[in-house]
Amino acid sequence: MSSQKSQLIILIVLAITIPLLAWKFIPSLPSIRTPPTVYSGGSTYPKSRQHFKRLDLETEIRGLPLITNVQIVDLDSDGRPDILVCDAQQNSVSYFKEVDGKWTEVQLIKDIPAPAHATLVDIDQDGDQDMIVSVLGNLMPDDNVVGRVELYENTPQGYQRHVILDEVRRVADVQPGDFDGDGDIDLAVAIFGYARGRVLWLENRGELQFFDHELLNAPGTIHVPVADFDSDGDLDIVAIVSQDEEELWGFENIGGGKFESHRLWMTVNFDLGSAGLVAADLDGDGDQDLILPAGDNLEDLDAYPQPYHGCYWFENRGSWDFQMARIADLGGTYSAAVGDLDNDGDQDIALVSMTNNWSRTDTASVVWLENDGYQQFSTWQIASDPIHLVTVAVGDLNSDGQLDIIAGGLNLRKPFQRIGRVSAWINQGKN
Amino acid sequence: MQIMIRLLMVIITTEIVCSGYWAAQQLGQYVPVLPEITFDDPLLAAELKALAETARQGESQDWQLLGEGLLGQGFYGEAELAFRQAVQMDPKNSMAQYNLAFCIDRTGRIAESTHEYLKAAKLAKPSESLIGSRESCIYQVGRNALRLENPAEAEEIFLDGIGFLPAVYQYSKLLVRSNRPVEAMPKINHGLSVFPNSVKFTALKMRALEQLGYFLEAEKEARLLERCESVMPTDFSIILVTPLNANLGIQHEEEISEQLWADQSLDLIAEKMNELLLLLGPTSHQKKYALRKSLIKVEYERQNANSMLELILHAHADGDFDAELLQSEGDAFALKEDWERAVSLWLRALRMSPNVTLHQKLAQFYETKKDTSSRDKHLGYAALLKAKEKYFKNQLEDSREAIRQAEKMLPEIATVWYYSAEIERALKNPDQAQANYALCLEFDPTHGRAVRALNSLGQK
Repeated sequence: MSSQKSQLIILIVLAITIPLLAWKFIPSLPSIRTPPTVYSGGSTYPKSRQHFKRLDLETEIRGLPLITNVQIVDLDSDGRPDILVCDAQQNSVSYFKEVDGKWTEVQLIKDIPAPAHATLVDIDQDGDQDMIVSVLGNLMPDDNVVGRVELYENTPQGYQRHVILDEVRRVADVQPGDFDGDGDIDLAVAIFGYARGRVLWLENRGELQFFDHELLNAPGTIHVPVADFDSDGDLDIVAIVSQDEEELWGFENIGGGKFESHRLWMTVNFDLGSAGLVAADLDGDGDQDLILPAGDNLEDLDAYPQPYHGCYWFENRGSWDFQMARIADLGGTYSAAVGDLDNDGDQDIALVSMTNNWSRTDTASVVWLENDGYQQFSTWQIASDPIHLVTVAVGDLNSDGQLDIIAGGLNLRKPFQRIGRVSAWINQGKN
Repeated sequence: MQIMIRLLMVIITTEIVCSGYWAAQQLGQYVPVLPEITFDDPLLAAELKALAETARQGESQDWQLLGEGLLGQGFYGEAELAFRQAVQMDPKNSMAQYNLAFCIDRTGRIAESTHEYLKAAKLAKPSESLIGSRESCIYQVGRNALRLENPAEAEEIFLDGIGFLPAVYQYSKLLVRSNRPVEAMPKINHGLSVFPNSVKFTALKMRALEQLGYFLEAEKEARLLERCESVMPTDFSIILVTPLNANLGIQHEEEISEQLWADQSLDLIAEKMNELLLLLGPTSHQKKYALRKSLIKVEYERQNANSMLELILHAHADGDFDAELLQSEGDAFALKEDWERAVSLWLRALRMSPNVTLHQKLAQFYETKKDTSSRDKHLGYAALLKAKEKYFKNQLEDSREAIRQAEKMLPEIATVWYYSAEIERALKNPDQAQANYALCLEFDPTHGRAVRALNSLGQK
């Protein structure tokens, strides 16, 4: 009887305790289920056999740098390379100069709203280099007439500002050339705008006065390289039109300041993200080809690499026939620079990425494409830090006969990490 | 007692079985996956963790909320998993299905996202909504066909969805780009009948007319294009993601502080913004810089020049130099009645980014100095800017009124006469337009746009 009683007590206790314990502990039991795999895109490549050593030009990065363009030029005509920088954070144009092995930055022009590009040219043909700045007016999407072309005349007192084109939408690029054969320098202008834009050429009428001629009415023109694309002895203009259009245009110089338009290529893929256009003789056949970096998807709040991003080569076959080939698949490719990076006699390409998958830390932000001499390219990773790179240039920074790489960061999007401003990679040759 | 014991044993067995089942369920629970990265946003990690905890114990809607939280912050991969679970728990959750397709779409898996959009289309209701409606799902499938460079398939899909205006645009665009302007024109005109001021349809009409060889009409459309507005989106990514982004983290807090403007409690706004700035202090988050500029405006309203200057110094220390900061610095010195510095800063800001407010401030300043020539110059430029603003918004009568003032104050500025001509032309006064273009060219013979406009006017 007493054993039954104690049995009963135990059972009552159990009946009460089990649900209480279950209530207390089961909700906190961790799941033993294997977490599903998160899709993670982005591109990485084998480590470059050509060794590049990173050189930080600045010791301190302030805020979120917004570098729009870098170039290697001899700005002060001392026979040594300088780095020309357009900065939309400080709204200035500056240059880095090497003094006693140390790079220091000198501000050239301040108070320029979102400079996209600075072109050095002796526009007044007085023997010094003037500067023409493509002024976006606003880095962010804006369809207002906020763009300008500003000419900074090199004078003994410093740069003197002249606005040579205004009342236009955002200006992304200006390139010089004598288009009408009258001996002075005219200008090709890419008005990117936003929903509306144009391609113009400005006829130099002397006394720093320019007459604007329209070549194309379309939004999103980024670059307007100038060269003799049809090898007929005069300068032509090409333009890459982005913003949902994704078209490559050629403007054939037919003499007397007249141009004939050719749509050289287009894709219905509105999302390709054309981000620039470089003219270079990539295959060494004596004519100018075109290199198109593609990977802009700033229309997304959070951009992600897409399968069609990368680098495209438009081989010049003559008579305005350009054959397109995809030569790299770097996600978020934003800029390309051409040069013989491995000193083997053919042209290679350096690429940078703005929007690779930065949630990973191994995805490439700088790569180079090694040309095997037959325009078959292998992609080699140089860096995955800093990220958000939108502009790249190659040149021999340390005068050792090997081309080095510089790049600039436009830190507009998350993550706000691995931030860079102007970075350099010094070519150390093959390992 | 025996019965009692037996009964208790049955109860205990049931409890053990139920607890075991519950424990097994718990151990096999679908686990929310959160991103394994360092967050730039100091608030986000905790908020996402809370959403994940609710989802872990919750229903389809809770997983959808988690997915939306992750998607709003750009974590497409993690959001995709949350939406998958939401759809698994409720296969009729059409919005979760749409968002799942979107996550796959934006991470570049085009064919797979098409498959998921088609599933969403079956679940979604027909409507004009740009997000989540049946029409929008089909539209995204069409866009995917474009991304895969399959124009024939895209054309078919957009034609099927022709009741949805963005699809009408895409269909018309394909026709124009493949040199079929005659087929395109009725569709374009339909689009323009709904949105007469649409940039996209007007640009397409201009192209179609060029292809048809109607160059004068194309030029007229080009002129009209200048006065159109972006009224019809064709890419819905931002429309979907922006509100989700504002639901969490520092962006959400900033929106709350922005809402305080409505109450005009400046002290409260300043307090809230300072709190947020303190929170963002150690980070490099983009919002820190935007927030600082908002706070400068608040301090201006509070007439607190020293705080403004301190904030501007911080902005400069972070590398920020722009027209807005220059203008604010000028405003601060104006509050301190240090007019020399104020005017010098305002003039620098004006050179970078002209605006009506600044011209008016300068006009007021020169009025006090009895410098009527400088005053009128700034009033003239303020009027010109107003005229341009109205002109580009196609508010022609208002634009004319403003440009008349500018003409009086700036009679030798070519730009004034150019816009005056454009306005008169748009108001169908070709003679007046012609005279004004001529005046423009008198003051600037290199004004190519005026020359072309004058020529085209002569051809009509």
